[in-house]
Amino acid sequence: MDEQLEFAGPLAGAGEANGEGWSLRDESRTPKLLVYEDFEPDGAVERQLGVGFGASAAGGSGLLVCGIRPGEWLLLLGERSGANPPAVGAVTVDLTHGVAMFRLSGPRARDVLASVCSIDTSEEMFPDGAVCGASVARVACTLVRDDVAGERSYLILSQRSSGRYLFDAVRDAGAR
Amino acid sequence: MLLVPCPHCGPRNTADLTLVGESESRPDPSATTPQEWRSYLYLEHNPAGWTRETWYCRLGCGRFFVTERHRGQNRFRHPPLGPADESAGPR
Repeated sequence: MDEQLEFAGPLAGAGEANGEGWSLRDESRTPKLLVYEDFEPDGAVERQLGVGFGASAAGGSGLLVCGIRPGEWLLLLGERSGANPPAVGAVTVDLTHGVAMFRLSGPRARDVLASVCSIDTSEEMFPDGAVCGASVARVACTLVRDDVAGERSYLILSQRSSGRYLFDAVRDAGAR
Repeated sequence: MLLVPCPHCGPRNTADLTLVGESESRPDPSATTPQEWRSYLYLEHNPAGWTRETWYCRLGCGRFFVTERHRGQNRFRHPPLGPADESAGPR
């Protein structure tokens, strides 16, 4: 067999999409660490990470700590070496290649997201720094409101296998 | 749209959750009859009034919790009763 099959991942070719007032960018290569609290939680992990369920906080070196579920955190690393996950009372799993992540930004980002999302994305319900689980284009996702330089911005995370579909669905919602 | 009061996520669209069923204690398998076990697994009281239910927050926090709902009026009692214990969890 001379022919070599080339594996194309679900995000291959996704790249970036833009429209009037919004942009969608694939940031799946961002290193991601999932941190679980131990079976007998005593709050030590939450104290160390400094953020609870439903919120996020920026750390040094571009680190973003997201409380995605009670007792579970997702660490988005600007630089892998900048991470300092809790060593005691926690289990850490590298999810970098298992989770797709997109950044939806721009003044119309909320409208684009609202057309495919199950939650209320108003400023009162989902302000900057908020984190929640939600359905986006009928895919179970984690949403993080992460404004950049005052511009509205959302991180959308899903299972990697749903990544390409999700990217296309959000892009099509923006183009509608 | 029915809003379900999740103790972690707040009010969520019922489409984001799964109703597990009426919340009742799991009988001891070694001491119960087949009829009682079948009743626990498959039968519900389904009153036209208040009943304790276990819900699973599928798209939100991923936790089971117990709350009370009026099945005639689709109203919830606030606040939710907190996390489901193992005896009231999925059957």
